[in-house]
Amino acid sequence: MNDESKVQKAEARDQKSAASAELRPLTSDLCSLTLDTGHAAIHDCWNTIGVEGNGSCPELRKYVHCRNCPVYSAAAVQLLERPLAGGYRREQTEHYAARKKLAAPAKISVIIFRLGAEWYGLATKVFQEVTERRPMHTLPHRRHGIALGLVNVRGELLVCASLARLLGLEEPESRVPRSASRVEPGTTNPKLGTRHVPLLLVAERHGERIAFPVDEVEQIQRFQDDELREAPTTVARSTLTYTRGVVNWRPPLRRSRLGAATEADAHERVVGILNADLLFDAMSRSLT
Amino acid sequence: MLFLLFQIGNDRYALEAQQAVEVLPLVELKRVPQAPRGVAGLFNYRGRPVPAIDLSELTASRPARELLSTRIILVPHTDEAGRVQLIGLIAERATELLRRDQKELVPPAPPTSGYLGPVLMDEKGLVQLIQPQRLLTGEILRLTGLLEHAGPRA
Repeated sequence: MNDESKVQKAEARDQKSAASAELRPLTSDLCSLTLDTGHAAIHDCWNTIGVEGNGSCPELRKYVHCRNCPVYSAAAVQLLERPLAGGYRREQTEHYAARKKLAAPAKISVIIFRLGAEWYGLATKVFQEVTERRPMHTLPHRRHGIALGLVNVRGELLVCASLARLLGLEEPESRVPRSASRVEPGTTNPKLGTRHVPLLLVAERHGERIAFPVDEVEQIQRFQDDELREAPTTVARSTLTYTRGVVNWRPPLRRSRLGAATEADAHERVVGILNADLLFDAMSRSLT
Repeated sequence: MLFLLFQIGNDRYALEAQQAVEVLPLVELKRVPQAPRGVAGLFNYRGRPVPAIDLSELTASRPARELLSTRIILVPHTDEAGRVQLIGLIAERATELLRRDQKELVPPAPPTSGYLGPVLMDEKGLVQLIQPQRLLTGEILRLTGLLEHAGPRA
């Protein structure tokens, strides 16, 4: 809001309070409505003796807040005693002439997370927990597999495995540079322009629990079966093995502090939906 | 029991909320030539023609005012053959609901016509329950019946 409009608003407020000669600290948009309803003008007692005014209304003892008071709701109903706006009937006619769109029940529910530059989804039902990263106890003689070490999750030691290595996104030897490339918790990713926190996902299947670190967790998202497409053959072979398909996913619009939609959120992303069964089988094979 | 309140003229009436399929805003109506009094026209509801009956016109001989609070209450009507057809009732001030116990219904005084039902009381006065289906005369029903037959052929 610029200074000029601020001044104008302040002036308007001063005029109003002078007119009513009442203490009126703040008027909400609804309360400042003056409408030609074709009936008696709405008497806005909530602005004078009610909660927006000086609170001297005796009814307040009974109703506590104006919104519980029948006078207030009667005034709201009175707002409907207005002639129809131009085009209103046409618009409503078209709306009700169209067949009702019934939302098909979503079939696939996944948690969407990021590994490096790639976005993946894995069935929500296999997840037990999304938690913060914690110190990892490395295992001796376990430098080359997908096992990264052990983590303590609620007092239980879980194997922490690298999904990125399993999917062939990262070479097992390159584990030291990985931490260097990783964005530190709570910092702004310069590439994506968004704040995100690397997290730890805890998944479970047939009583077997496993933890794996991810760079970012976006949200739980539901998809229809027909939204799932074949993964393009250009995708790395090892990734393809564990992928059920890909879906296009538009991240929810997030605003940066400055109020502009960040560039990374503006377009659709392709999310690889992983096959949980294959993934778990492969993980248990690699870990034993 | 939950009741949907509306007005005819200056009097308040109600119908059981359970009977209403949906409450629609005023939509554009296609006039029906030589239609019986009270039939305001037809409208397309989700792909099927539904007749709209103006309750004010029917009982107070004055068309409903075109206000935001005037709405179309969709009720099902079952004819003798057991077929169900939707009918839209144009009602003024169809903006409020009222919850009352069955025991609070007072049977009306004896001289009543078929569509008027028991009476309720609230702080604003009397509300009379109506059986909207019984408001419909033979002519209106023929119109709705015709519609049903015309539907598949058209």
